[in-house]
Amino acid sequence: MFRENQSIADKIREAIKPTPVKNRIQMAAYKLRNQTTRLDKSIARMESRDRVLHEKCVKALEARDSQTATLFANECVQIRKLIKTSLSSQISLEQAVLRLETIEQFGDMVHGMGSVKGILTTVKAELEGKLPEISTGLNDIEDSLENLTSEIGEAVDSEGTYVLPNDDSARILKEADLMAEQKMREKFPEIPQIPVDAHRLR
Amino acid sequence: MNPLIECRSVAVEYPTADGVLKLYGDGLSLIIEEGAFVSVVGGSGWGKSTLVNLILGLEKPTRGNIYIRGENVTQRSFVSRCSRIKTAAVFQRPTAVPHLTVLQNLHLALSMIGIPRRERDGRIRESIGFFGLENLSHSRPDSLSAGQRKRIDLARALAVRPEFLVLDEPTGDLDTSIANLVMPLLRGLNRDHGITILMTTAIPRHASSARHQVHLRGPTIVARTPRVLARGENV
Repeated sequence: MFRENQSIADKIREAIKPTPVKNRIQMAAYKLRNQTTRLDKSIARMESRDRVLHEKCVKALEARDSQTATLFANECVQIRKLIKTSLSSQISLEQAVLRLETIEQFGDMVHGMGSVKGILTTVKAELEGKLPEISTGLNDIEDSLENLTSEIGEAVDSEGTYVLPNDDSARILKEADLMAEQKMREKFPEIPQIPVDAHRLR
Repeated sequence: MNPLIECRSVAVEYPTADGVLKLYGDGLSLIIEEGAFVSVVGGSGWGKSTLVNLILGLEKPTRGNIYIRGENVTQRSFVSRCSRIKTAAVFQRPTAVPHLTVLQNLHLALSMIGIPRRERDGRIRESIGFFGLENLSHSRPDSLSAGQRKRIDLARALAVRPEFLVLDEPTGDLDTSIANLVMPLLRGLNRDHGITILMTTAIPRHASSARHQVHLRGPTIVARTPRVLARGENV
Protein backbone atom coordinates (compact mmCIF):
# COMPACT_ATOMS: atom_id res chain seq x y z
CA MET A 1 0.00 0.00 0.00
CA PHE A 2 2.86 2.35 0.82
CA ARG A 3 4.77 1.94 -2.45
CA GLU A 4 5.98 5.20 -3.95
CA ASN A 5 5.00 4.37 -7.56
CA GLN A 6 1.82 2.56 -8.59
CA SER A 7 2.04 -0.23 -11.17
CA ILE A 8 -0.61 -0.60 -13.90
CA ALA A 9 -2.12 -3.51 -11.97
CA ASP A 10 -2.35 -1.26 -8.90
CA LYS A 11 -4.06 1.43 -10.95
CA ILE A 12 -6.64 -1.05 -12.35
CA ARG A 13 -7.25 -2.44 -8.85
CA GLU A 14 -7.66 1.12 -7.57
CA ALA A 15 -10.23 1.89 -10.29
CA ILE A 16 -12.29 -1.21 -9.46
CA LYS A 17 -12.03 -1.07 -5.68
CA PRO A 18 -10.76 2.31 -4.46
CA THR A 19 -8.58 2.41 -1.36
CA PRO A 20 -10.59 3.76 1.60
CA VAL A 21 -10.14 7.47 2.33
CA LYS A 22 -8.52 6.76 5.71
CA ASN A 23 -5.85 4.56 4.10
CA ARG A 24 -5.13 7.14 1.42
CA ILE A 25 -4.58 9.82 4.05
CA GLN A 26 -2.32 7.44 5.99
CA MET A 27 -0.42 6.77 2.78
CA ALA A 28 0.06 10.50 2.14
CA ALA A 29 1.28 10.99 5.73
CA TYR A 30 3.70 8.09 5.32
CA LYS A 31 5.11 9.52 2.08
CA LEU A 32 5.39 12.95 3.66
CA ARG A 33 7.31 11.47 6.59
CA ASN A 34 9.69 9.90 4.05
CA GLN A 35 10.33 13.30 2.52
CA THR A 36 11.10 14.85 5.92
CA THR A 37 13.60 12.04 6.57
CA ARG A 38 15.23 12.74 3.20
CA LEU A 39 15.38 16.42 4.10
CA ASP A 40 16.95 15.53 7.43
CA LYS A 41 19.69 13.56 5.67
CA SER A 42 20.44 16.32 3.19
CA ILE A 43 20.56 18.87 6.06
CA ALA A 44 23.11 16.65 7.86
CA ARG A 45 25.21 16.46 4.66
CA MET A 46 25.07 20.22 4.19
CA GLU A 47 25.98 20.85 7.84
CA SER A 48 29.12 18.76 7.56
CA ARG A 49 30.01 20.56 4.31
CA ASP A 50 29.51 23.89 6.12
CA ARG A 51 31.86 22.77 8.93
CA VAL A 52 34.58 21.91 6.40
CA LEU A 53 34.16 25.21 4.57
CA HIS A 54 34.15 27.18 7.83
CA GLU A 55 37.38 25.52 8.96
CA LYS A 56 39.00 26.23 5.61
CA CYS A 57 37.88 29.85 5.80
CA VAL A 58 39.42 30.25 9.29
CA LYS A 59 42.65 28.59 8.19
CA ALA A 60 42.87 30.82 5.12
CA LEU A 61 42.40 33.87 7.35
CA GLU A 62 45.11 32.64 9.71
CA ALA A 63 47.37 32.32 6.70
CA ARG A 64 46.32 35.88 5.73
CA ASP A 65 44.97 34.58 2.44
CA SER A 66 41.92 36.78 2.28
CA GLN A 67 41.00 35.89 -1.29
CA THR A 68 40.64 32.18 -0.46
CA ALA A 69 38.94 33.04 2.85
CA THR A 70 36.40 35.19 0.97
CA LEU A 71 35.74 32.32 -1.42
CA PHE A 72 35.03 29.87 1.43
CA ALA A 73 33.02 32.44 3.37
CA ASN A 74 30.81 33.06 0.36
CA GLU A 75 30.28 29.35 -0.07
CA CYS A 76 29.36 29.08 3.63
CA VAL A 77 26.78 31.84 3.17
CA GLN A 78 25.22 30.03 0.20
CA ILE A 79 25.11 26.66 1.94
CA ARG A 80 23.60 28.20 5.09
CA LYS A 81 20.84 29.80 3.05
CA LEU A 82 20.00 26.35 1.68
CA ILE A 83 20.18 24.78 5.17
CA LYS A 84 17.80 27.43 6.49
CA THR A 85 15.33 26.79 3.66
CA SER A 86 15.59 23.05 4.26
CA LEU A 87 15.12 23.40 8.04
CA SER A 88 12.12 25.63 7.60
CA SER A 89 10.67 23.19 5.02
CA GLN A 90 11.28 20.27 7.36
CA ILE A 91 9.49 21.97 10.27
CA SER A 92 6.57 22.91 7.98
CA LEU A 93 6.30 19.37 6.57
CA GLU A 94 6.27 17.91 10.09
CA GLN A 95 3.29 20.16 10.79
CA ALA A 96 1.64 18.99 7.54
CA VAL A 97 2.02 15.37 8.72
CA LEU A 98 0.37 16.36 12.01
CA ARG A 99 -2.51 18.00 10.14
CA LEU A 100 -3.01 14.82 8.08
CA GLU A 101 -3.10 12.88 11.33
CA THR A 102 -5.77 15.22 12.70
CA ILE A 103 -7.88 14.53 9.57
CA GLU A 104 -7.48 10.83 10.28
CA GLN A 105 -8.46 11.24 13.94
CA PHE A 106 -11.11 13.98 13.78
CA GLY A 107 -12.52 13.41 10.28
CA ASP A 108 -12.12 17.12 9.59
CA MET A 109 -11.33 17.25 5.88
CA VAL A 110 -11.79 20.93 5.00
CA HIS A 111 -9.77 22.52 7.80
CA GLY A 112 -6.96 19.96 7.88
CA MET A 113 -6.57 19.53 4.14
CA GLY A 114 -6.55 23.31 3.58
CA SER A 115 -3.53 23.61 5.87
CA VAL A 116 -1.72 20.70 4.23
CA LYS A 117 -2.38 22.06 0.76
CA GLY A 118 -1.05 25.51 1.67
CA ILE A 119 2.11 24.06 3.24
CA LEU A 120 2.84 21.66 0.37
CA THR A 121 2.41 24.31 -2.33
CA THR A 122 4.79 26.74 -0.61
CA VAL A 123 7.43 24.21 0.46
CA LYS A 124 7.43 22.57 -2.97
CA ALA A 125 8.04 25.95 -4.64
CA GLU A 126 10.79 26.79 -2.10
CA LEU A 127 12.67 23.57 -2.79
CA GLU A 128 12.22 23.55 -6.55
CA GLY A 129 15.61 23.92 -8.19
CA LYS A 130 17.36 23.59 -4.80
CA LEU A 131 16.42 20.05 -3.76
CA PRO A 132 14.52 18.84 -6.86
CA GLU A 133 14.11 15.20 -5.76
CA ILE A 134 12.24 16.30 -2.63
CA SER A 135 10.23 18.87 -4.54
CA THR A 136 9.15 16.17 -7.02
CA GLY A 137 8.21 13.84 -4.14
CA LEU A 138 6.06 16.59 -2.63
CA ASN A 139 4.44 17.17 -6.00
CA ASP A 140 3.34 13.51 -6.11
CA ILE A 141 1.86 13.74 -2.60
CA GLU A 142 0.07 16.97 -3.50
CA ASP A 143 -1.37 15.27 -6.61
CA SER A 144 -2.64 12.28 -4.66
CA LEU A 145 -4.33 14.54 -2.07
CA GLU A 146 -5.74 16.66 -4.89
CA ASN A 147 -7.20 13.51 -6.48
CA LEU A 148 -8.72 12.51 -3.17
CA THR A 149 -10.50 15.84 -2.69
CA SER A 150 -11.61 15.89 -6.35
CA GLU A 151 -13.04 12.37 -6.08
CA ILE A 152 -15.04 13.36 -3.02
CA GLY A 153 -16.32 16.32 -5.04
CA GLU A 154 -17.06 14.22 -8.15
CA ALA A 155 -19.21 11.87 -6.10
CA VAL A 156 -21.72 14.71 -5.93
CA ASP A 157 -20.92 16.37 -9.28
CA SER A 158 -18.79 19.09 -7.84
CA GLU A 159 -15.13 20.00 -7.88
CA GLY A 160 -12.68 19.76 -5.03
CA THR A 161 -12.36 23.54 -4.76
CA TYR A 162 -13.68 23.51 -1.21
CA VAL A 163 -10.19 22.77 0.03
CA LEU A 164 -8.25 26.00 -0.19
CA PRO A 165 -5.00 26.97 1.53
CA ASN A 166 -5.98 28.68 4.81
CA ASP A 167 -4.58 31.07 7.46
CA ASP A 168 -3.37 28.10 9.47
CA SER A 169 -0.88 27.19 6.73
CA ALA A 170 0.40 30.78 6.52
CA ARG A 171 0.90 30.80 10.31
CA ILE A 172 2.69 27.44 10.26
CA LEU A 173 5.03 28.55 7.46
CA LYS A 174 5.84 31.81 9.24
CA GLU A 175 6.53 30.07 12.55
CA ALA A 176 8.66 27.45 10.79
CA ASP A 177 10.74 30.20 9.23
CA LEU A 178 11.35 31.86 12.60
CA MET A 179 12.15 28.54 14.25
CA ALA A 180 14.61 27.67 11.47
CA GLU A 181 16.25 31.05 11.93
CA GLN A 182 16.60 30.43 15.67
CA LYS A 183 18.03 26.94 15.10
CA MET A 184 20.57 28.40 12.68
CA ARG A 185 21.56 31.01 15.23
CA GLU A 186 22.09 28.36 17.91
CA LYS A 187 23.79 25.79 15.73
CA PHE A 188 26.25 27.61 13.50
CA PRO A 189 29.33 29.61 14.39
CA GLU A 190 29.50 33.06 12.88
CA ILE A 191 31.26 33.34 9.58
CA PRO A 192 34.52 35.17 10.23
CA GLN A 193 34.57 38.78 9.16
CA ILE A 194 37.25 39.32 6.58
CA PRO A 195 39.03 42.66 6.75
CA VAL A 196 38.41 44.61 3.56
CA ASP A 197 42.03 45.52 3.21
CA ALA A 198 43.38 42.13 4.30
CA HIS A 199 44.66 41.27 0.84
CA ARG A 200 46.90 44.29 0.97
CA LEU A 201 48.74 42.71 3.90
CA ARG A 202 49.83 39.77 1.82
CA MET B 1 -13.45 12.48 40.03
CA ASN B 2 -10.18 11.40 38.43
CA PRO B 3 -7.97 13.81 36.53
CA LEU B 4 -8.31 13.11 32.83
CA ILE B 5 -5.78 15.71 31.75
CA GLU B 6 -3.29 17.58 33.79
CA CYS B 7 -0.91 20.36 32.80
CA ARG B 8 1.88 20.99 35.29
CA SER B 9 3.75 24.32 35.06
CA VAL B 10 3.47 24.37 31.30
CA ALA B 11 5.07 27.28 29.45
CA VAL B 12 5.81 27.95 25.81
CA GLU B 13 8.30 30.23 24.12
CA TYR B 14 8.16 31.21 20.47
CA PRO B 15 10.75 33.03 18.43
CA THR B 16 9.21 36.11 16.81
CA ALA B 17 10.61 38.91 14.72
CA ASP B 18 10.69 41.17 17.84
CA GLY B 19 12.10 38.67 20.30
CA VAL B 20 10.96 35.65 22.27
CA LEU B 21 7.24 35.46 22.98
CA LYS B 22 6.52 33.84 26.36
CA LEU B 23 3.12 32.35 27.06
CA TYR B 24 1.65 31.45 30.47
CA GLY B 25 4.18 33.47 32.53
CA ASP B 26 5.85 31.24 35.13
CA GLY B 27 3.85 28.24 34.02
CA LEU B 28 0.25 27.16 33.70
CA SER B 29 -1.11 24.36 35.87
CA LEU B 30 -4.51 22.93 35.11
CA ILE B 31 -6.44 19.79 36.00
CA ILE B 32 -9.37 18.66 33.84
CA GLU B 33 -11.33 15.98 35.63
CA GLU B 34 -13.35 13.29 33.85
CA GLY B 35 -16.78 14.66 32.96
CA ALA B 36 -15.77 18.29 33.52
CA PHE B 37 -16.69 21.24 31.30
CA VAL B 38 -13.79 23.68 31.39
CA SER B 39 -13.52 26.92 29.49
CA VAL B 40 -10.29 28.77 28.86
CA VAL B 41 -10.80 32.48 28.37
CA GLY B 42 -8.30 35.03 27.10
CA GLY B 43 -7.62 37.59 24.42
CA SER B 44 -6.32 37.02 20.93
CA GLY B 45 -2.72 35.77 20.95
CA TRP B 46 -2.82 34.83 24.65
CA GLY B 47 -2.30 31.14 23.97
CA LYS B 48 -5.80 29.64 23.95
CA SER B 49 -5.26 27.62 20.77
CA THR B 50 -1.71 26.85 21.85
CA LEU B 51 -3.06 25.29 25.04
CA VAL B 52 -5.39 23.11 22.94
CA ASN B 53 -2.46 22.14 20.69
CA LEU B 54 -0.28 21.33 23.72
CA ILE B 55 -2.92 19.04 25.18
CA LEU B 56 -3.57 17.35 21.84
CA GLY B 57 0.16 16.93 21.17
CA LEU B 58 0.22 19.18 18.11
CA GLU B 59 2.82 21.35 19.86
CA LYS B 60 5.37 20.64 22.58
CA PRO B 61 5.82 22.87 25.65
CA THR B 62 9.15 24.56 26.31
CA ARG B 63 8.73 23.77 30.01
CA GLY B 64 6.42 21.64 32.13
CA ASN B 65 4.60 18.39 31.59
CA ILE B 66 1.25 17.12 30.37
CA TYR B 67 -0.45 14.04 31.79
CA ILE B 68 -3.32 11.96 30.48
CA ARG B 69 -4.89 9.77 33.16
CA GLY B 70 -1.76 10.16 35.26
CA GLU B 71 0.64 9.18 32.51
CA ASN B 72 3.23 11.72 31.39
CA VAL B 73 2.54 12.20 27.66
CA THR B 74 4.61 15.36 27.11
CA GLN B 75 6.89 13.66 24.60
CA ARG B 76 4.16 11.49 23.09
CA SER B 77 2.78 12.19 19.63
CA PHE B 78 -0.69 13.38 18.71
CA VAL B 79 -1.70 9.91 17.47
CA SER B 80 -0.38 8.26 20.60
CA ARG B 81 -2.39 10.64 22.80
CA CYS B 82 -5.54 10.04 20.74
CA SER B 83 -5.10 6.31 21.30
CA ARG B 84 -5.14 6.93 25.07
CA ILE B 85 -8.20 9.13 25.05
CA LYS B 86 -10.82 9.17 22.29
CA THR B 87 -10.85 12.79 21.23
CA ALA B 88 -12.93 14.94 18.89
CA ALA B 89 -12.39 18.57 18.00
CA VAL B 90 -14.45 21.46 16.69
CA PHE B 91 -12.76 24.58 15.45
CA GLN B 92 -13.92 28.13 14.92
CA ARG B 93 -14.56 27.83 11.21
CA PRO B 94 -17.27 25.48 9.98
CA THR B 95 -15.57 22.39 8.61
CA ALA B 96 -18.40 20.72 6.71
CA VAL B 97 -17.75 20.16 3.00
CA PRO B 98 -20.14 22.70 1.44
CA HIS B 99 -21.42 20.63 -1.47
CA LEU B 100 -22.07 17.42 0.46
CA THR B 101 -25.33 17.03 2.35
CA VAL B 102 -25.31 16.92 6.14
CA LEU B 103 -25.64 13.12 5.99
CA GLN B 104 -22.84 12.77 3.43
CA ASN B 105 -20.62 15.01 5.54
CA LEU B 106 -21.09 12.85 8.60
CA HIS B 107 -20.53 9.66 6.57
CA LEU B 108 -17.34 11.14 5.10
CA ALA B 109 -16.03 12.17 8.54
CA LEU B 110 -16.70 8.73 10.01
CA SER B 111 -15.19 6.95 6.99
CA MET B 112 -12.06 9.08 7.40
CA ILE B 113 -11.61 7.92 10.96
CA GLY B 114 -12.20 4.33 9.85
CA ILE B 115 -15.70 3.59 11.21
CA PRO B 116 -17.24 0.75 9.15
CA ARG B 117 -20.33 1.60 7.13
CA ARG B 118 -22.71 -0.64 9.11
CA GLU B 119 -21.77 1.21 12.30
CA ARG B 120 -22.04 4.68 10.83
CA ASP B 121 -25.81 4.83 10.35
CA GLY B 122 -26.64 4.35 14.02
CA ARG B 123 -24.07 6.87 15.17
CA ILE B 124 -25.19 9.45 12.63
CA ARG B 125 -28.87 9.02 13.48
CA GLU B 126 -28.17 9.53 17.17
CA SER B 127 -25.94 12.51 16.52
CA ILE B 128 -28.32 14.23 14.11
CA GLY B 129 -31.18 13.64 16.54
CA PHE B 130 -29.30 15.19 19.46
CA PHE B 131 -28.64 18.39 17.55
CA GLY B 132 -32.08 18.56 15.94
CA LEU B 133 -30.76 18.25 12.39
CA GLU B 134 -33.25 15.60 11.19
CA ASN B 135 -35.06 17.96 8.83
CA LEU B 136 -31.79 19.28 7.44
CA SER B 137 -30.04 15.96 6.87
CA HIS B 138 -30.40 16.23 3.07
CA SER B 139 -29.50 19.93 2.93
CA ARG B 140 -26.10 21.18 1.92
CA PRO B 141 -24.16 23.29 4.43
CA ASP B 142 -23.79 26.18 1.99
CA SER B 143 -27.58 26.58 2.11
CA LEU B 144 -27.68 26.63 5.91
CA SER B 145 -27.19 29.36 8.50
CA ALA B 146 -23.95 29.75 10.51
CA GLY B 147 -25.64 28.30 13.60
CA GLN B 148 -26.89 25.26 11.67
CA ARG B 149 -23.42 24.70 10.20
CA LYS B 150 -21.97 24.81 13.70
CA ARG B 151 -24.47 22.15 14.73
CA ILE B 152 -23.19 19.95 11.87
CA ASP B 153 -19.66 20.29 13.23
CA LEU B 154 -20.87 19.40 16.70
CA ALA B 155 -22.86 16.45 15.31
CA ARG B 156 -19.71 15.24 13.54
CA ALA B 157 -17.80 15.47 16.81
CA LEU B 158 -20.50 13.61 18.72
CA ALA B 159 -20.68 10.86 16.06
CA VAL B 160 -17.02 10.10 16.84
CA ARG B 161 -18.27 9.21 20.35
CA PRO B 162 -15.43 10.96 22.09
CA GLU B 163 -14.50 10.87 25.74
CA PHE B 164 -12.88 14.27 25.36
CA LEU B 165 -14.15 17.10 23.18
CA VAL B 166 -12.00 20.08 22.35
CA LEU B 167 -13.75 23.23 21.14
CA ASP B 168 -11.40 25.93 19.93
CA GLU B 169 -13.41 29.17 19.88
CA PRO B 170 -16.57 27.40 18.72
CA THR B 171 -18.63 30.59 18.89
CA GLY B 172 -15.97 32.92 17.49
CA ASP B 173 -17.64 33.42 14.12
CA LEU B 174 -21.24 33.38 15.34
CA ASP B 175 -23.64 36.22 16.16
CA THR B 176 -24.42 36.57 19.85
CA SER B 177 -27.98 35.27 19.40
CA ILE B 178 -26.77 32.15 17.55
CA ALA B 179 -23.89 31.62 19.97
CA ASN B 180 -26.43 31.72 22.81
CA LEU B 181 -28.25 28.81 21.17
CA VAL B 182 -25.06 26.76 20.82
CA MET B 183 -23.95 27.03 24.44
CA PRO B 184 -26.90 25.00 25.90
CA LEU B 185 -26.12 22.28 23.33
CA LEU B 186 -22.58 22.06 24.66
CA ARG B 187 -23.84 21.85 28.22
CA GLY B 188 -26.17 19.09 27.04
CA LEU B 189 -23.28 17.17 25.47
CA ASN B 190 -21.41 17.36 28.74
CA ARG B 191 -24.39 16.51 30.94
CA ASP B 192 -26.23 13.90 28.84
CA HIS B 193 -23.29 12.15 27.21
CA GLY B 194 -20.75 12.61 30.00
CA ILE B 195 -18.21 14.01 27.55
CA THR B 196 -15.35 15.97 29.10
CA ILE B 197 -15.19 19.33 27.34
CA LEU B 198 -12.41 21.86 27.01
CA MET B 199 -13.57 25.04 25.31
CA THR B 200 -11.57 28.16 24.48
CA THR B 201 -13.22 31.51 24.03
CA ALA B 202 -12.42 35.19 24.02
CA ILE B 203 -15.92 36.01 25.27
CA PRO B 204 -16.22 35.83 29.10
CA ARG B 205 -20.02 35.42 28.92
CA HIS B 206 -19.65 32.24 26.87
CA ALA B 207 -16.99 30.99 29.23
CA SER B 208 -19.49 31.22 32.05
CA SER B 209 -21.53 28.42 30.41
CA ALA B 210 -18.83 26.02 31.54
CA ARG B 211 -18.68 24.73 35.08
CA HIS B 212 -15.02 25.73 35.48
CA GLN B 213 -13.14 28.65 33.99
CA VAL B 214 -9.48 29.31 33.46
CA HIS B 215 -8.44 32.91 32.78
CA LEU B 216 -5.21 33.31 30.85
CA ARG B 217 -2.83 36.20 31.26
CA GLY B 218 -1.41 38.06 28.28
CA PRO B 219 1.94 37.00 26.82
CA THR B 220 5.24 38.79 27.31
CA ILE B 221 7.91 39.47 24.73
CA VAL B 222 11.55 39.35 25.74
CA ALA B 223 13.76 41.19 23.28
CA ARG B 224 16.59 39.18 21.82
CA THR B 225 20.16 40.38 21.45
CA PRO B 226 20.74 40.64 17.73
CA ARG B 227 23.53 38.53 16.36
CA VAL B 228 24.72 38.49 12.78
CA LEU B 229 24.26 35.04 11.29
CA ALA B 230 25.99 35.38 8.00
CA ARG B 231 28.19 38.18 6.90
CA GLY B 232 27.98 37.33 3.24
CA GLU B 233 27.20 40.89 2.26
CA ASN B 234 30.22 42.22 4.19
CA VAL B 235 32.67 39.80 2.62
